[in-house]
Amino acid sequence: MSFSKETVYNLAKLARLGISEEEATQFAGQLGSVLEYVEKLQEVSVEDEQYRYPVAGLENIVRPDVLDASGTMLHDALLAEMPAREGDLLKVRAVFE
Amino acid sequence: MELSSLTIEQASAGLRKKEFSSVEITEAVLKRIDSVDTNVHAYLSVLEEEAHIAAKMADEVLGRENTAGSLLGIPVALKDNMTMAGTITTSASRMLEHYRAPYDGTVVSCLKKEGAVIIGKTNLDEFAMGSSTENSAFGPTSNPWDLSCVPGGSSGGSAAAVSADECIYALGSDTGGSIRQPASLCGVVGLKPTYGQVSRYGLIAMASSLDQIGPITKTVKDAAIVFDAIKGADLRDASSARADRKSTLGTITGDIKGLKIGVPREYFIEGMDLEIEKATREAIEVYRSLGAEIIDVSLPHTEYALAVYYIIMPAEVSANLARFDGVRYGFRDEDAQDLTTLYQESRRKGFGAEVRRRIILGTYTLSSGYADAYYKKAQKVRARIEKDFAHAFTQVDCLLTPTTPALAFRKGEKSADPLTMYLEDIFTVSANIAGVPGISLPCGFASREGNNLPMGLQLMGKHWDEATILNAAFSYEQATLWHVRRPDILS
Repeated sequence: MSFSKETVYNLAKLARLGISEEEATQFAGQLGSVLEYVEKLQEVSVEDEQYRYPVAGLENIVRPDVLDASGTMLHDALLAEMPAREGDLLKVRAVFE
Repeated sequence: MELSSLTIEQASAGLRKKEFSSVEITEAVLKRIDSVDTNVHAYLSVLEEEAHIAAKMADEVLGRENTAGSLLGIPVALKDNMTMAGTITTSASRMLEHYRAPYDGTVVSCLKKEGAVIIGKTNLDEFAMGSSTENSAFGPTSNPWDLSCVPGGSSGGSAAAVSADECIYALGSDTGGSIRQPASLCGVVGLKPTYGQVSRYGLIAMASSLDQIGPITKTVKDAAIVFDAIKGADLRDASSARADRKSTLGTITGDIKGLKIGVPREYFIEGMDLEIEKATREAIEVYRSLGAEIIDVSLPHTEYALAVYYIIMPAEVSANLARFDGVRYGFRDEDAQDLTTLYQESRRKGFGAEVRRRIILGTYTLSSGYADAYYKKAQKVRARIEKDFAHAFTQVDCLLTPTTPALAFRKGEKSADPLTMYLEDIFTVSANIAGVPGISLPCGFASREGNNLPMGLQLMGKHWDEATILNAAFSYEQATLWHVRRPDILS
């Protein structure tokens, strides 16, 4: 399975991931060999197998929503993690030009 | 004997008999970190002040009552992908270099409730992606048995810290072997519980259908003590809904007469280290002499486990790490003028190469037109692998394999070729894929250029049945005593 530099660029764009030209070439080779390795799954016939979330018999676990009244300490700690803010507001780049 | 080299059991007994205080044991561990961590680099941060406060509180409790739990006053290290309120939690990434966690993860709440002394946060491969701890944005950790070698990963800092007596025990997380493989390479015990036994609330997510938190300790009984303290159902992690709080420690007797141990033939592969194969065969004989019945079994889809893993894991990684976008928290590239550039450049500068490789791989296998061929196919083979285990467990009580195909390797040896590094997990990923519990414990040493390097034995059990593998591990440990050897390279 070969993987082109252009494919890597395109995927990086989809994943909102900046990537240099040199890295794109390197990743293309490395990911190509990983994809070649995982190709071996095509040997297994699983037509009769159910697609499911298969771990430890866990399925559709629900609970009612609860109001978390943790108060101002958590509020302040969360605000402190914002990379840029004005008062209690998070500053972001414009979404619409 | 230095206080830092004690096990949980020994430390707990000593504290109760007032042979030493929690403050003394905490200071001994801090001193040990001070003297060896420049060489080992197991820690990303040491919480000296917080540890002192917790130790003093523990001593007060110990002065008042004798009913306290066995983790009270004992220093523990946390892998730095677990949140502890008010402390920096980096996941060994530039993305979270300055991130101060606003809340305690559930395992941290459990430890605090027990009165544990949290001494620091340990190094890991960035976002737990790797098998050598070389992918840390803050420099690699060294293997205490040979400083030129890697400690394994991704919980390499936790395993090295336990091995080098820089804590009494530690917590790690295991997505494809990240507790067991470093435990094996560092000569300590590592338990990956059943998927769903321990809440992941507060664990920075890597691959959510595989991630599980567990203990890294000096002995098997210590692993049981820690496991009992951190397991249980938690409303904040729906995958833990079935877990219970019954004591596992109480069921460990060391008596394994009549225990049926399966040896899957697919785990003895061409190219594996001959000394590891020999040590594993010898361990089988030890088990036979202890009264276990050894049964040849087959897990026919074993050879596909790693391929399944390298589809499912990156797919989940690409989804989980989408949250790191430079907007709400974490690293933001302030030079970026528009929103798209801000996303791209924050993620380029914030993430290391391995993290970005996996995000790209996951984006590919989930993308339109490929998801059926890759992700859904992998999920179906995953179901087959789980059935292999279910079938084997109709014949046997647990399974015995080597933990790794090779000994600790030199730093830099495998970093150029990701696929070679991925093969490190070949014996450990199946347990994550099937969701079953697995433990690695020391099973001997191999000599390499004048240094002794530890080898690990893996036992895997039925869903929710850690008790059986812990008991079998304890029985072997007591018969062989490999675990009492500590690296002397540092002293």
